[in-house]
Amino acid sequence: MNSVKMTSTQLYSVMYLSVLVGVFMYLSHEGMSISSVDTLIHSLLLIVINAVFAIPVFYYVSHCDSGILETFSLVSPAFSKVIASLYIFLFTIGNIRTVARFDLFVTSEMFEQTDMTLFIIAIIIICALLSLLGIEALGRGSIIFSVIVVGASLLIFFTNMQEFDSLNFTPPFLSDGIDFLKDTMSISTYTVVLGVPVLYRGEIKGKMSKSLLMFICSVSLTMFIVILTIIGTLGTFADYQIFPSFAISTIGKISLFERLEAFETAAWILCVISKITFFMLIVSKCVEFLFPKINKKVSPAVTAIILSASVIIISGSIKRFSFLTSLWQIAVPYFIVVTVLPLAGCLLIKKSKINKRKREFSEAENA
Amino acid sequence: MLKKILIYGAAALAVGIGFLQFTGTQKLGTELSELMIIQSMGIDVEDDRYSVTVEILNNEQTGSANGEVQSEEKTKIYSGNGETVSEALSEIIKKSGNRPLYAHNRAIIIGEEAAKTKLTGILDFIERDYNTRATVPVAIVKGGKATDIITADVGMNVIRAQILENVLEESEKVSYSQRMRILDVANYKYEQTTSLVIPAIKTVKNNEKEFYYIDGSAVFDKNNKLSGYLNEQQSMGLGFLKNKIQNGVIGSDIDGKQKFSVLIVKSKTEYVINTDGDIPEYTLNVKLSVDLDEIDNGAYSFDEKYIEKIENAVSEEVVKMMNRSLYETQKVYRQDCLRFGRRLLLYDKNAYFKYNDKWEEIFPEIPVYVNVDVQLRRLGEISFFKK
Repeated sequence: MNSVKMTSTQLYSVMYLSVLVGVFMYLSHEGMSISSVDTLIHSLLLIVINAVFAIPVFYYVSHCDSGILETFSLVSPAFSKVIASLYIFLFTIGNIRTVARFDLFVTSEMFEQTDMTLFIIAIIIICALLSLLGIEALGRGSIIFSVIVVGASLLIFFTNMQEFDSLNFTPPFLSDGIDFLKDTMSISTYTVVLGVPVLYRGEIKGKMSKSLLMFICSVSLTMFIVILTIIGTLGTFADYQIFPSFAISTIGKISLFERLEAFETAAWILCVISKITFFMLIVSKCVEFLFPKINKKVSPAVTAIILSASVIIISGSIKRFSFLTSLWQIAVPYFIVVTVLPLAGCLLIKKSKINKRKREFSEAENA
Repeated sequence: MLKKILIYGAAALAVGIGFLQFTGTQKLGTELSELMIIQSMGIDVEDDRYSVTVEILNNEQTGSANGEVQSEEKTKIYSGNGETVSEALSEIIKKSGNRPLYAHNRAIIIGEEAAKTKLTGILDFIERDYNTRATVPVAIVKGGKATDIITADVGMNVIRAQILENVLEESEKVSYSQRMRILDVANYKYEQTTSLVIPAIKTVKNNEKEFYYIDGSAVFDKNNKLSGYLNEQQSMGLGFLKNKIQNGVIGSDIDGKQKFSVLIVKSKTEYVINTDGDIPEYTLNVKLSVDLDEIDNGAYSFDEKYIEKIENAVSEEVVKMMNRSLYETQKVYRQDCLRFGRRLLLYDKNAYFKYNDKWEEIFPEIPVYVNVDVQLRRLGEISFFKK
């Protein structure tokens, strides 16, 4: 286990930045309209949805002092290795999605008509190097990054407020019940990192539940503000923009200064670097759990190669980006990471406690 | 040490790349002098082919040691033709030898013929283009070509696009027309019940010099084909109907004799929609605050009755403007460029979904009632007293 412990605030800062990547580089799912007020409601319902689905996470972090892999290994070392492999698979896929989305953003909004593969690979290498510093260093950096990103986002919000048009809004509950639920779920899948605290429980100092709830609320509030700005400023036009969050940053201005998207882009790149590094660290942690004697540099290097290869393969054709908008490919990892695995961990804790009590009871009886 | 270098290095990289967006380096590997920094773009259709005229910054100007620009115009004009807007622009690239940068574009002007036949294709190009800003204003040339606007002789060594942009912005502030940016155009276009209305522009000659003039608004049908125009007064009426009036001047008279003008200080239009009948009914309550600007025979005495007369005269004038505008949009063009359908969606979505598919038939029949409440706020700098 890592001897350096981090605070829960540091971990949540990294998680917050990871979620913001999804929010800022939002790509609409088939049939979902971001310009509908329903999306605002989804962002508020996110608190309830996440709080409910993350009950096992809450239970785990408040009843156990070790990471979920260590807990599984106490019962079945082989099973814990399967779980570690599952985490590696899910977070590598998650990282590929992040890199592909960033590639799409860079080549659509920043440097269009330019092959930016080398630039993306350079970012991946930087992230791999950053991941060698460990989660605690990333956590410290992320607190500063979060302040910068929130500041840049608030700037965009306030400069866009004067452009709000009441006719851009729609009446609530435009979509029918099933679609409404589906869209709520699709928004909540952006918070897949909610399941990460159970993985790092052993490396976090102090209690985590309260700050976890704060994290859920702050994510929801951020989404609400971003979506409110998108709807108020862009209206239906948002549905026809590949990155509506970027489109709003091109609209606001302060006096003569109109290029606010430059601030926003810088902030987003900070988020992307944090997220890719964070996911690399999660993969490294699981790889080290599978192969305790492995050199620490191997996992980031292999992950960087996989990510670079995926960028080269995906970047060439827009058809290959389709997996970015497939709801099921995001929803399934969310349930596994946020609910299923932590729930299994909780059941193990409960079972071991019952067994312990039974043992104590039978020992007392024998005595 | 390595930690600090990496973390700060990553932050510096992110900020650096972000700030690259301020510059022409958005086109990587391109010098600023190799870029065609487009200031305004005019699109026409001739013989079913697109013709594009652009005003670009003359960034190859030579400068003296003290930084002053020597000779040459501040901007250059290029034009090209093609089967698509993109092809026409490619021809311009061939002629100029530079790559286009649309991020600094100040105005998009569309010729009348293009507005009649090819607006949808033009809008697709504008919306799809990567670095066209959504806030660029759009205007239609009334009875003419976009190239006449882009190449107009509006002064020596001026950036025409800058004047064009100012004219479009100012005309909105004085309520002669309502601005339509790319994003507004897109919203009108995508709304099922709404039809486009875009400011109409033309040039007028005065002593051999040309001036830009906003001459009302162009009204489109649901297929984005030009239906006709609203004149200045009707455009102002449209502003009241759409709750988009900022400032402006209203002229009227008392008992058909004493002419006067008032300045609009504030205007707010409230919508009341009644969906109980067969078709929805709209009642528009306008609250207008004005300052007296001029009376032709210089009245210096104002009692309450006299002030009421002024207020009533302004109210009647605004009602007339709104009714003329309503008549043109509802009865003549039969196009909902007032976003009545959208307002119905916000007010009563069930009623909206009852009517939205046959809105084109329903809109012209909708009863609209207009009430205008005018408050005279100030009388100007001349003192007021009762004799």
